Amino acid sequence: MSFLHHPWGLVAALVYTYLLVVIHFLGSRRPGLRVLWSAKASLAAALPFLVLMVIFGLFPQSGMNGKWYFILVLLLFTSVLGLAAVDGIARMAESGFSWRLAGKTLSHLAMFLVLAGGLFGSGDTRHVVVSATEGTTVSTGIDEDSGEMVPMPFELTLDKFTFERKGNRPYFLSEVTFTEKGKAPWKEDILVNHPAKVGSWILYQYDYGKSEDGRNTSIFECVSDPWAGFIRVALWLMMVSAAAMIVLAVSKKPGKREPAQAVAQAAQAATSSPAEVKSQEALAEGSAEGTAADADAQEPASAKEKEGRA
Amino acid sequence: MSWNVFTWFAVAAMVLWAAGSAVSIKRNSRRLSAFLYGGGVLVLLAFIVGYWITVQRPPMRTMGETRLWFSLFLSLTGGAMFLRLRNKWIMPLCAVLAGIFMCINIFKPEIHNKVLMPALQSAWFVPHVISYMLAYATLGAATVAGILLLVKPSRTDIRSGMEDCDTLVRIGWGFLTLGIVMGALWAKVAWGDFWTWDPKETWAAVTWLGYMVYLHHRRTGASPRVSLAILMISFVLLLMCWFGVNYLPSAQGGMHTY
Repeated sequence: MSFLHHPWGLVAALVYTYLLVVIHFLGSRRPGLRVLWSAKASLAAALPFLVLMVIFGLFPQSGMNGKWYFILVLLLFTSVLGLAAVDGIARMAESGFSWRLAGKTLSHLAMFLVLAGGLFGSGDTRHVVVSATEGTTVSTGIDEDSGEMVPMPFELTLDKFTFERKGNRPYFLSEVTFTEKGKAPWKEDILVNHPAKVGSWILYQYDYGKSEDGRNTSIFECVSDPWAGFIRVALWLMMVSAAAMIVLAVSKKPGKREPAQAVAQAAQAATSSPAEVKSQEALAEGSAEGTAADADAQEPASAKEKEGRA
Repeated sequence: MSWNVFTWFAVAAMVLWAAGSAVSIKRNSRRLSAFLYGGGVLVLLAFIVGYWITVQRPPMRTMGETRLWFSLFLSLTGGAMFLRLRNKWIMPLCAVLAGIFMCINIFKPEIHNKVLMPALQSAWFVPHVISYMLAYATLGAATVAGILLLVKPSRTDIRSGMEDCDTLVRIGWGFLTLGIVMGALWAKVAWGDFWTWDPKETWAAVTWLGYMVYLHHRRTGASPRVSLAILMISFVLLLMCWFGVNYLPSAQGGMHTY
């Protein structure tokens, strides 16, 4: 949502997260709301997203991530994720820690943080292209969003630009000197995969060319992204949860069944009516899932019972 | 070891896989079967190591090279499933799928353009590609297991069969997530943004969503047949992401067209 600029992106993100917590809280009063963080809701939210992505994948359009329907579909997806994360946390607070629930909650939470950060932080991200010719100093660039010339908070001198081929590895190297107000000038090497950091800006080797008088020109993309640290942490959390998922799946003993499932299977083997098989299957599905803390389909019913007793 | 000798290694590996599979089906001698089949995996691994040393860069850059890793990991996964699940059909079918990709490499290697461009010269390169190939191989094995269930849905083993599919998809989806996140962290360092919806990225998101839908559909308790259909469609999306993207006219400007 690139129309949200600091501090409104942050404010909107906090209000949005708070709203999700409130909706989840209301679910304890209105069980009907609980469908919003069930597996079915995740399907309902993922399918429009999936379809839109396939369309964009087949017919890419520039600026698709700024289209209102794209934002809407992504917001729906993010909201269901956020609700599932809140639900996981609430359930852990209620029924205690389990590795499966913790892993599941972490994966929902991390993904939610990544997407929410992307949605609400995109307005604070700036891209400016700075080009410098060897031996010259520049302190302005072209803002990629507005197309206007903007001043930069530093001066950049391109000392030398090298294009080399080391075996089968070509590489571009910009040797630059930075000058910032109140600081002694310092030198940096900028390469692809090796950007330089100046204050809140990070400079990437972007392109190169020749000036009119034949001197080397190096072009840098300067990115200022105040949410990058937040998103980076969330991405690492996603990796932790993904690794946990792999470990849990690998360490699961094959053929180990929930008792109810084994019974249902035996019944299934004995029965001959297809309808009966189906109902047995549904039964086993429910009971097996119900034993785990993360039963989505069964959860509302059991919660309702709890409430009835209260 | 140059690419010229690949055919010999490929044929040797496929013969060993076929022999191992045949023994597992016909003679029920697990040790001999694992020995032969594992030999095939080792032959392929030997080629990859030799080729890596020869080209002096990780052989993960071109389509043909990614197919090498896919075949290696898929055959490995098939072997692991054989030892673990005692289903005698998964290993031969994994070998067939791995063999198809080896044959593509024999007849259409696509290993041209060997230069490692600057954007790929990063510590993220190897773990990103390896995660993806592990994911593709595991999800390929899940597809194989799913096809088996669709073709001979005997009533007694549908449930355990679905559980095997779930386990494979969980592992594969985990690696898919690792690969996608490493790609995002890498893109931030190389290009300045975590995600730019370049065509390859868009299809990676589609693939990731496809398997996510499978996992959540399984949780709704709905029909396993529908889940299996989602599993098959997801693999088509995966292939689209892996190969299809390069043939899309729209993708030519993308940053991932290698």
